[in-house]
Amino acid sequence: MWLLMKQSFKRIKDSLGRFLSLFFIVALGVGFFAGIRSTSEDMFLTADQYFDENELFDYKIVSTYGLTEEDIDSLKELTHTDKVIGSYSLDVIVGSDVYRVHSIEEEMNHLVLEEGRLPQNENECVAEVGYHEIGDVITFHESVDGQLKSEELTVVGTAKTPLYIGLEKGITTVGNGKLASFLYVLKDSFVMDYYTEAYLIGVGSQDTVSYEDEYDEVLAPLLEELQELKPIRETLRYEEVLEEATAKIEEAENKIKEEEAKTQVELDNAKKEIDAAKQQIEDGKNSLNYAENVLSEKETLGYQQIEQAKAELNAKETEYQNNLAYYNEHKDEISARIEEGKKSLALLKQQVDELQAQIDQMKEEDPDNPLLAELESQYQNMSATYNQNLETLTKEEEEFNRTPILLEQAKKAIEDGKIKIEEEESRFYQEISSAKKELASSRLELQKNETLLAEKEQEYEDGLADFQAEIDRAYAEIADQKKALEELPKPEWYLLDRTDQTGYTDFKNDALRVDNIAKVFPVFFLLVAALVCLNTMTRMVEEDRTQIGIFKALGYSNGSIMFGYFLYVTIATFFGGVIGLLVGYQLLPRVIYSIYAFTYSLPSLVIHIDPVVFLVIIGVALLLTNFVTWFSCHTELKVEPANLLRPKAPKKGKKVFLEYITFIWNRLNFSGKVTVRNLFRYKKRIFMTVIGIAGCTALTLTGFGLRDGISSIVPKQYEELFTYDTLSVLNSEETTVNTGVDQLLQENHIINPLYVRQELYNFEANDKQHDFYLIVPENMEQFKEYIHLRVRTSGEEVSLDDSGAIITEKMASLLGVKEGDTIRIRNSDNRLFFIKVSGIVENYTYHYVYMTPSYYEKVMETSPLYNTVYGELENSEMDHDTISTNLIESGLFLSNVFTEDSVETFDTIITSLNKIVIVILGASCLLAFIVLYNLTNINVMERQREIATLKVLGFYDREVSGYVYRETMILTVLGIFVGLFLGVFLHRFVMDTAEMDFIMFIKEINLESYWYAGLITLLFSVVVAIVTHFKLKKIDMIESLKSVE
Amino acid sequence: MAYIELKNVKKEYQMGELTIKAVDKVNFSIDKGELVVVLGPSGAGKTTILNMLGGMDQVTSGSIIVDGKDITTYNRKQLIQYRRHDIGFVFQFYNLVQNLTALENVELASQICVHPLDPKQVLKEVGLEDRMSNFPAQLSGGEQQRVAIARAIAKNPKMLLCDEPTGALDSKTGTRILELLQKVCRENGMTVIIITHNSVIADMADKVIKMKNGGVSEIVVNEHPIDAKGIVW
Repeated sequence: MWLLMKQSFKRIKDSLGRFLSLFFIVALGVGFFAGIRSTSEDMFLTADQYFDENELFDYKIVSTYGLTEEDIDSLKELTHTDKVIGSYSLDVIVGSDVYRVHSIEEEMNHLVLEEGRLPQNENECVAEVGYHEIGDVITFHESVDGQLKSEELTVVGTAKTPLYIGLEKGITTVGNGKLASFLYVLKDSFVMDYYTEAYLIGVGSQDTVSYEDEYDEVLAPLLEELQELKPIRETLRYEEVLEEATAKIEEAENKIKEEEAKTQVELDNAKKEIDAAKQQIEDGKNSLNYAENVLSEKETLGYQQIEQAKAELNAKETEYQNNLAYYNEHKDEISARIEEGKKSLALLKQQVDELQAQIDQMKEEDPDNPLLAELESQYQNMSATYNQNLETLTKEEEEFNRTPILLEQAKKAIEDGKIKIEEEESRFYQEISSAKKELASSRLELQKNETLLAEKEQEYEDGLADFQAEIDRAYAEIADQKKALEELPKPEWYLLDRTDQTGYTDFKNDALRVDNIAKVFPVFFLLVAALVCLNTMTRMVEEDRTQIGIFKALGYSNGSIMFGYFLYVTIATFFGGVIGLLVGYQLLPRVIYSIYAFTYSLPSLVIHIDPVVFLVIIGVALLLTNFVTWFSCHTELKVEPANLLRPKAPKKGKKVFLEYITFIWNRLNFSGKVTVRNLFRYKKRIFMTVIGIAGCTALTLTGFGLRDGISSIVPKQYEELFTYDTLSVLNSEETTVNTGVDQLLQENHIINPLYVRQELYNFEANDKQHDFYLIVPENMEQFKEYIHLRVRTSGEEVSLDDSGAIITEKMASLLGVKEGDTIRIRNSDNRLFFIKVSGIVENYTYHYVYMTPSYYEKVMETSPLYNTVYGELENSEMDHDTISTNLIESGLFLSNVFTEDSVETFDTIITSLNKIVIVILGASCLLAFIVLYNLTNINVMERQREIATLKVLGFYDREVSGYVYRETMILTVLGIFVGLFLGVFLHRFVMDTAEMDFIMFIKEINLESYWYAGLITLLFSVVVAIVTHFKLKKIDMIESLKSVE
Repeated sequence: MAYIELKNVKKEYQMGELTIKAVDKVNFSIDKGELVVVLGPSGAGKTTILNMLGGMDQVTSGSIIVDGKDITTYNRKQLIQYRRHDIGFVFQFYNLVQNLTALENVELASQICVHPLDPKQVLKEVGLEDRMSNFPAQLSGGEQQRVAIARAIAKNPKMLLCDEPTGALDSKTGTRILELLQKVCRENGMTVIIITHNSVIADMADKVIKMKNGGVSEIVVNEHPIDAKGIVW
């Protein structure tokens, strides 16, 4: 036995190349198989570990009525719950995105802080990694009063959470219907009356691996309990709410009644006030009328008096005129008479004086003369007469002299009187007119007051009507509420598990997709490995024919002879397997996972090597290779030792089919003929070579095809199909074109606006909900400019009309529908609509349904409200940020996205997918190299004698290589063509399995890729050819030609 | 001046730490057109001599002069050219390419030569004009050896080296092969060197070089070589 073992080792040493090719093919096959197979498990374990570490919930309960402390307590009492918490969440609109604000929980769904810290007060929050930076201030589109304490949150940390492991975070009933990101705030920041949700962890769930059946099994009893509890709590809650609501309604009713009474009083007072005001106005009117009458009388009287005075004055003037005339007429006469009087008086005086003097004389002469007395008396008489006359005359003169003065006085008096009357008249006129003015203004005021009162009265009337209406309404409302209460829906509990989290399920699907790929590629590799092994061992046994004969002749049992080969193959398989597994387990899952790492926020991959599986794989590989070895040996071992000692009859040459076609055959030169002959000599080798090369080419082509498909998605989608430059979401929904909006756009260099209704809907296919955008353009002409509807295969244009909706290709294939079929879609409120498919168009990312406004109206029973504007960008200096800011700050738009910018995000995904291409390329190249090397190696060994003969005949080295390699080259080229052909199918298969639900990969392979795939394979065969050339050079003629001894 | 001359040829093989002397101090010469038999028991070094003479193996020391040129100084390429143009080999086990017909096997050799003989003519000469399109497996041992000889002759070489050409054949067929070789020698004036352990064959040679233990023990010149027809064993 020792001898046989020693011989095995010697065999390894002697044919190291062969041993290594066996070793590597086993390593490659097993490594690839195990690596890819373990990827999905590693992914599941990584996710599970992440979930366990952060205590992700097992069940989430959401109630239509919210959850109370009692609800939570009742959940805690369940036997299979490990942990229960009540938690808050709130969907808010930030910018144009919908965020879900969660409360930070100590016990479950931990935040994994990446940067910064946790919030310390109600004004702080933690945001999603990559969505916000620390220091960002988040404001809400609508007030969150009564739900959150703060209207403004400052980001103090960024984190990820096991609640959202995917980029897709699910749907919401708010905003655009799509959850974009999350925020975490302190639990105290919520001011809601009820918990919005409860999270549960079941007993024992942490010990099982999420995604696996065992996990569901462990949770089954909890689910049962929850389902039992659900109706109980629902009913209890219903009663509670009913009671509460009834009380509330009653309260409201009372309040209305109170309000009614109060308002009635107020109204009555108002009425009284109005009435009083009315009376006042009436009084005012009366007194005004009286005053007017008085004034009028006074006016008449005044004018009469004035007239009278004027008449009197006139009379006086006439008298004066008369007197003046008289005076003037009699002035001289009187004056003369006075002069005469004076003269007579003077005469009289003389007489008096003479008498006086007589008397005086007499007196002196005879004081007692009796004549004296007489004379005295006479004197007396005469003096009296004089005096009298003097007096009269003086009087008369005086009077006469006074007359002009008097006249003058009279004249003056008359003139004065005239002036006085005039003054009096004007004064009176003024007095009257001011009084009149006063009265007029009083009347005006009165009228004003009257109007005011009328208004007030109207107001009162209106108020009364309003009050009545309001009261009626309030009562109606109460009645409605009462009715609603009667029809109050029972609260409903929704039991959600992890699979209801979008990311959780997507991750599972992605991992399963890897598993699908794992079904094809590794099998391919294993098959090739088995073939290589078979080939190698068969050749080895053939070579050792004589030796086997000797051993047999010496009496060794078949078993012990085979042992040597088993040992050889076991060593190769064992070490190859172990190395392959170790490398495969580490490398492949990491590379594949790194591709998904972009779409998920999960920790780095946990590599899990299950020792049992490890050993099983090694065991199976050993079993397989040993079986192959047995298969190669057993025929040979059946042969009698004597025959074995004789050289095996060489394979017979025979004519090939081509020789009968003399037309071609005769045209071939000698080496051509030889090549053709040799080609058909070893059928197994043709088969092996072609399979190996074809496999390599197919894999390479698949790799390049994947890259083609993925990298051309973006240009096709955003350069050929969607050609608008900007997509702006309007702040308010418009029924038609808004010139203000157009102008704003124009100012920001966005032209040719197209208004569309863009809304998120969903459809169900393969038990899964898929989101899609419903697009209703306002203007069909412009729509054609922006979205190119065409059939992918024929490039034929599809026009949108009122007969139905046009859906995108991937959606159609998910639904399995064709033109003319009817599909079911739902809006975000879960309302079901039926639409007719009038066409299916090319599209690569997301799903879209296009409708004309009138078809929309027909289906939705409402006319479309336009909420989005597509536009074209003019050449301008304005940078994108400025434009977006302008649009949003105007208040007309919620958001603005440039197609160019969104294209960039796709590029990262493509970069990652290129990695998988490199993995496939690397693996296939390695495979190609090993297969080619192995085949050529065997080819050379088998034909060693022939080659030696050629050398002896004097063939140059390159002629020898050419002789051997020409056929390999032909087979390589043949293999390449077969591979290109098979590659198309393999590529298609891989595309189908790897495709994501919302992306349609481009399944056409670029022409260059065919070239690359072919040339790379060719390059490898050239490398192998060079290696072979040196191997051929080393063949020793003498050794090879030695006769069998 | 001899056509072929070996001077003090020595060949050693290195087997690990052991040095095995295959041949040592071999000296002999062969004239043009001579039929020479190298005779000796197994392990005497005959094949080694033939290999070196045929340009398949290098000498350790000494020189081999063929047609005035020392082939021991040849490099790899010159050796290939030497084999290609000057040497025709015939082996014990024929070493025909199984996948080629008799004619093609001859063509295989003739196509690489500058002045080849017509393969069909050669096959006719060796008496195989009816079996030209047969594959080796369809031919008897003697026929196969005749194809091998035809292949060697068609190259129109300077000498024909035959290593136990009758070793795998029965006496009757062997005789026919020897006849053929003698005929080629006599009629085409080709130098033929036959290696054999069969001393009977020596009778047909112009010169017999006897070897023993890696050395030439005796060189016998046959004044009257017998006709190969008469050789029986």
